[in-house]
Amino acid sequence: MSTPILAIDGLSKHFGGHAALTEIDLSVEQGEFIALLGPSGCGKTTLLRCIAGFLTPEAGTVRLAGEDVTRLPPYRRPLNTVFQNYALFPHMSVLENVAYGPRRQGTPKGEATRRSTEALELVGLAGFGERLPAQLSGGQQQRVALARAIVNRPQLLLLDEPLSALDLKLRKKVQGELKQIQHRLGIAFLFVTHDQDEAMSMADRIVLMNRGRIEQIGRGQDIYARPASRFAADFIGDANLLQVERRGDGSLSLLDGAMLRPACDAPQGVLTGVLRPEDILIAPEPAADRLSLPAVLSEITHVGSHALVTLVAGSTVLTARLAPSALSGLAPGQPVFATIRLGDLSLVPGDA
Amino acid sequence: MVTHLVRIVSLAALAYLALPLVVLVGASLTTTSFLAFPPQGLTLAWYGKMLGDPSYVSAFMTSTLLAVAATIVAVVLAVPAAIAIARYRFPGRRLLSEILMSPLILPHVVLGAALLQYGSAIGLVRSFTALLVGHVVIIMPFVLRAVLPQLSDEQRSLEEASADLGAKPLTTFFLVTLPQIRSGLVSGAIFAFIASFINVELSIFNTTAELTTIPVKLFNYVQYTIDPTIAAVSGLTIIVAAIVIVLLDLTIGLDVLSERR
Amino acid sequence: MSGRLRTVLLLCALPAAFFVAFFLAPMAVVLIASLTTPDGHLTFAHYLRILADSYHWDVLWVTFRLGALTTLVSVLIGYPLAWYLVRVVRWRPWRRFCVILLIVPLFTSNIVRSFGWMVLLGRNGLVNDSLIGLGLIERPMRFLGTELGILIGLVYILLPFIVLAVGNALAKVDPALEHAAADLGATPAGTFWTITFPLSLPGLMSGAVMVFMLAVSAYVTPALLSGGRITVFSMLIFQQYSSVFDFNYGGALSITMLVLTLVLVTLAGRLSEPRRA
Repeated sequence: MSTPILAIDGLSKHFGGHAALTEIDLSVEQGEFIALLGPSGCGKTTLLRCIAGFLTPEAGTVRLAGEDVTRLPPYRRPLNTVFQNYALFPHMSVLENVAYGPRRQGTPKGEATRRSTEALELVGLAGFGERLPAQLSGGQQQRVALARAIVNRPQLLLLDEPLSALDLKLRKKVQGELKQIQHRLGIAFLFVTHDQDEAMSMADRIVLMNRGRIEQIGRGQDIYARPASRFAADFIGDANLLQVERRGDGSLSLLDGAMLRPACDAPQGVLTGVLRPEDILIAPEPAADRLSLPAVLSEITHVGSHALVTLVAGSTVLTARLAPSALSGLAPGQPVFATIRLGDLSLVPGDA
Repeated sequence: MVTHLVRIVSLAALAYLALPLVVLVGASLTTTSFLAFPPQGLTLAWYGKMLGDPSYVSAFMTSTLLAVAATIVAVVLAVPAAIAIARYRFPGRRLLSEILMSPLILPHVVLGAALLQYGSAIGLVRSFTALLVGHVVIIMPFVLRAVLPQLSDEQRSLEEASADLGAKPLTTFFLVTLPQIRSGLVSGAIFAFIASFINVELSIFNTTAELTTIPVKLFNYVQYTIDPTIAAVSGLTIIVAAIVIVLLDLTIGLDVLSERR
Repeated sequence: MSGRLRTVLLLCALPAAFFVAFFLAPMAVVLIASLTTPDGHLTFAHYLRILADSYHWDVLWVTFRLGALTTLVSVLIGYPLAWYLVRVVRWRPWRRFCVILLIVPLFTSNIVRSFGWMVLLGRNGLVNDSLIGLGLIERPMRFLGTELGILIGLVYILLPFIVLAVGNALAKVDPALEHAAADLGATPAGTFWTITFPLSLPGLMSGAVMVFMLAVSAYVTPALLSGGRITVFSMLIFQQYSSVFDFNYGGALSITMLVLTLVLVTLAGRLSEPRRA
């Protein structure tokens, strides 16, 4: 296996007494698209700033293509950043903004202009070179920021919530373009976002962060299907969280005593069961091949392509996602059975 | 390295800024009959002498009265003008605002001379009113400059809401508009007051032996004699200025140079 | 008449009338006086007199040289000081104290501040005593009545304007822009010259223009620190109005000064105009 383009080892960063990052380990391969995902304040931007060189960690190392850059100032690091609000230089034209990087590296003016023009063409802004940033729309500014960051052909590009200032429709469009450009250039992208849909749809791998730690690293669908923690289950997708208890005999007790007997290597004690809404079906009778829980249908909410159904099973409230066609003949107040497949239940440590 | 140099230059510059003020306050405390710094002995006698001299007291009264009156007139004139300039598009708007702001850059000696010449034609010279109109002209830009940025377009909807709820225009002004511009008005009025209180160049044309302001009296005095009384008068103005600024800092905040991080 | 226009008139009538009566009319009177003889005939004689007299040229030259030097020195000291206050000082109480120190002089009369320098720069003043004490000079230097003395006084009075203008501009520079420059490979010095300095330039220029205007038109400071040995243009004007009583000639001097400063300031404004759409 080749040297990872980015290798982070045991990185910790404190602000005063507050631990912003604790023991971060992360490795990014050439050409990979990684999303750093987490709620605000989880440390993802701090991590990005440590990689870019705007912050110096107290412990741990940052290696870029094998070289230790932990103590190098930002201008000596071979990577570039797309900043959150683009940070375009307001007193320079679009072309001058893009040519800024090559010029600082000593590229002659003609060559820098040629390469910058190419970069602008790549992001679809050919002919905009003479304008000032203030004369561009938000989406166009975003592209200039991208062109400016890739013109030097870094091996790693950091993107700090680059789409957060765009409206939803434009964001969807730019997401696709960004992915294409990344594919074409073969640059590794480290993309900070708090939007799970964005992370899911764009990234090869998601690094899920919470409270300065990495909760889980993996492909989006894997984290969705097999969350490693209660936080991961709750943050990615919707989840029904059920209290589960593993008895001494290896059996699990779920929902006020319903007994299961799966082959399970979970630790003994109180656990949390994660059940995705689309894994719950509703039936008038218990289903033979599924675990069936008696419940009362309490509410139906239609949300376009599907409906959300609230079920009350004893003291637990479950939400199921069903196609509207599966709802015929059902009305609130009706006693039903919520049925699940045991294999769809993920167990994570901790109380629900 | 560079930061080091910046630090040295800055500390020297700060010392340079503090030096005359420290020296004046210090020299005003000397027991000698001539100005001495460091002061020889400490006494408040010169302050006593100043306060016992009716001509200083009356000049001080004139200055205060003039600055108060000029500030009031300037505010009354500047606020409506600011509202018109900020809220309405009308022919001559730019010209009006430029004319109202121009006393800021106009040499005060020129304006003082002009007012003297014009005043002698219309019989308005060497009187309190003659001083007043000149001061209003030069301090109005301070009020205007402080109030204008606080009149934003968002407030217009507040005013419309107030009108919609049945308030008359004047009621809307006092209940809705005025509270929005209060901090600008306060700081603008303070700068205006100070600008009037410390003016020499304009006042000097219209003062007489009986009607004079503190700065003009000082100016005329120091050209002939220098004694610790002058230092005491200066010291008093420095101390008053320092107190006013500290109060301002505590109330509206003067930390204008903080980075907006 | 539309309602809006009536409102505008209602709001502006009084301030506009006041400025017409006590600002524009007096200035017009000066302009007219400068172009007429005492008995009311049109003449350019007053201006020709200024142009023909080498003494006036000398005074103008001294005045504008002092103005330019004051501006230059204020910028050279003021920019680092502004940088120090905005970027170097991290301890807020100290910055607060510095800002107060910067503003106190603005709140005290020119006369008081210049008087302070009269005391400091005298033969036996603190400055000479210190210089002798340090062994830098043997006999007291002459400051009062020299251009150096006036320069020291003018820079002292006008320095806060530059510092406040530059400091404000520096405080508004978005740190993200400097980060972006560093990210693209600019060294700290490179970042300063390509990003921070250009972005603070409008503040610097407006401060410098203000300082130049005030230095050129200053009266009190040069009058007190010149000791009668040096004449600047505003002193000429004052003489005409207060002792010679030649209002026509004084008017011509006033207008000359006004036009010259406005021309220079407009030129400076043109040169420093930020790039625009």
